Amino acid sequence: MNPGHPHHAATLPDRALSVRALRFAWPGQPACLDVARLDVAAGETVFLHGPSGSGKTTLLALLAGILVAQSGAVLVAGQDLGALAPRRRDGFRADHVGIVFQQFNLVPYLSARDNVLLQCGFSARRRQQVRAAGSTPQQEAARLLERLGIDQRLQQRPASTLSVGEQQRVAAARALIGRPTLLIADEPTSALDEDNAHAFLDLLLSECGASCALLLVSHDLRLAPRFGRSLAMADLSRVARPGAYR
Amino acid sequence: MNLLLLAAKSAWSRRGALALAVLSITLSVALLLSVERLRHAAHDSFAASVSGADLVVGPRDHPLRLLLHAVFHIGMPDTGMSWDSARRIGADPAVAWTIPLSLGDSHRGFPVVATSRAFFAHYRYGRAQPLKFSTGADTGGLFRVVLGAEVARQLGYQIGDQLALNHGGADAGAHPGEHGGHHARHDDKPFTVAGVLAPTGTPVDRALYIGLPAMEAIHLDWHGGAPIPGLSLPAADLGKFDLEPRQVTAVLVGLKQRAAVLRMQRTINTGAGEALSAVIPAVALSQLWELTGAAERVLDAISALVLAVALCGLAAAVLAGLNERRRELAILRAVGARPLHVFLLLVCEGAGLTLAGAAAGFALVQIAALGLAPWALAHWGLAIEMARPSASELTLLAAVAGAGLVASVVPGWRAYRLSLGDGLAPGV
Repeated sequence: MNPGHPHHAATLPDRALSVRALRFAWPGQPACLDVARLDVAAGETVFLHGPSGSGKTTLLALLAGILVAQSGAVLVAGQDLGALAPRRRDGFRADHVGIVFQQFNLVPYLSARDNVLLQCGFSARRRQQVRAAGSTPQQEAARLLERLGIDQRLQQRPASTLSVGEQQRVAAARALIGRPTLLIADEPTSALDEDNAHAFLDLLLSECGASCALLLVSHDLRLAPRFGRSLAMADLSRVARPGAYR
Repeated sequence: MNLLLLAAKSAWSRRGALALAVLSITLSVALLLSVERLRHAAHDSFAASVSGADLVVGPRDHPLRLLLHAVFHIGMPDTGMSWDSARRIGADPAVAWTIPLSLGDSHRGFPVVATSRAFFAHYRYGRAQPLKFSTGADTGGLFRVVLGAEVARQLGYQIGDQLALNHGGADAGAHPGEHGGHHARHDDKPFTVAGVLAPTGTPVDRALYIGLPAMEAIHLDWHGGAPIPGLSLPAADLGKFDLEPRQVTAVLVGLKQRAAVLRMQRTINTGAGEALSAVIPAVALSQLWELTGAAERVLDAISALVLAVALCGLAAAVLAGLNERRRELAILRAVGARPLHVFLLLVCEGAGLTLAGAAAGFALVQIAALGLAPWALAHWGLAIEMARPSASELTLLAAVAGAGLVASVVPGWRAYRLSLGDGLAPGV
């Protein structure tokens, strides 16, 4: 494995995500993450669970290319993120990765629809994808929001006036517009009550469809059966629980 | 959505917190512009008072002193120039007109200027505007007086009113006791108001105008600054005397061609006979501005400091808001914004707020100019105009915008560092 080389991407054409020998430490601290291998196929849905403090959020930041590991490789759609210059990496994230946080997902002073369009504003690829499907970013944002249960009236309202459940659905629409390769969700349902959580998950899973892989992180194991595959953080990262070291 | 729009919407959502910072910029820019504009108004109003004259000629003196007492009635001349010299200058083929001026008397604190009818025909003020009468006219006649607009307004004179002049300068008129009460007054030869001039915003408004022969007539029975004891000539008998003046204080000279001004000045300054000074008004005024320049620079420096404080306040307000916005910046990073975008977002915000403050400050000055212009003209003789921004004002506004940009780099840089370090989870 030679993580520095982007061209072994060619050998993994159908993978949304590949992680190899990833080690990360915050400055001046011991390694908090050590992932030997993780593969997510295109369109696959993966549930990743673990207690708080197990490095889930840090892992997601690494997968999104916001943080860069000291060693190892993260490939999204076959592209080694570490091989990209920082500005290219940000552009690549805008094009290929959608992110949904636990809460406070939206820019509060923009309308729901403008929050969705914000994603297109940073990504030429997503705009192209929308146009290739015979639509415009405006129309597509409205359509996606409508499908996620945000009606026209709500779409025009400032994001800060929406309920938490509505905000999460807007965040999902933002992450999904223009067909990204990978959707990363960090505890997206933990701010919702159980009914809302399941409804939200239904929407997320159905909208991701076959083209967009979903990696969802949560401590709530009850969600696991809805996914194609379930992983424990402790199994994935050797640092997270030293006792699990194999 | 472009970054500028995003910055604008973001700032608008925090308008309460930012309003004070913008207000302080507005006020400091207004101060800066006011200093600039008042200075220009002062300079312009001095220049406007001599806009028609190519040369001011008087007895040999410092150019500035000559200009100040001849045109602005500030200070007292030591001597006069002879009427012969004045006539000789008027006869020069290059000279289009001359306005002789004779100063020395006053009326209730306002200077009395003895002159010829050429004054009403050729004197120009402001942008080469001629004098106009608001009421009455220059009717001629020995004991006729024409009032400046401010004199008529303050003293409440109307056409046909009679008034007596004081001997001595304007200051003496304010304290008649010092000069021996009624002895220093020309009570026996009262003047009748023949006309009132329209306001000009120049010293013309604050003076009274009589003919040169009248000035001679009221001093016929005087000698050495006081009435000759036992000699009192009735006003009716004055026509028998030669009232041609022997001396005047100064002469304003208009040339047929302005290009001849330097040659004419040299001819007068170096000519044989009486020692005279010929002054180009603009040159003498620039000497005045050099004198007052130091005080103006202090005002500039204070205004600049006030602006600097306001900009620091803005940077502090933007910085203070940054902590609450870390979430917002993390969201932007998540959707693909580069740290440079975050930096630019903050810089755009700071620069935009500075521009908004500067524009509001400019508007404030324009509105104030509009509202206060009549008052400033009446009380200070300052013609403040609501003009398009001058080149120097635009330079000033550009400098303010530049300083705002520099001040905005501080929160921009802080946000840049935060967005690199925060990852997806700010504040963790």
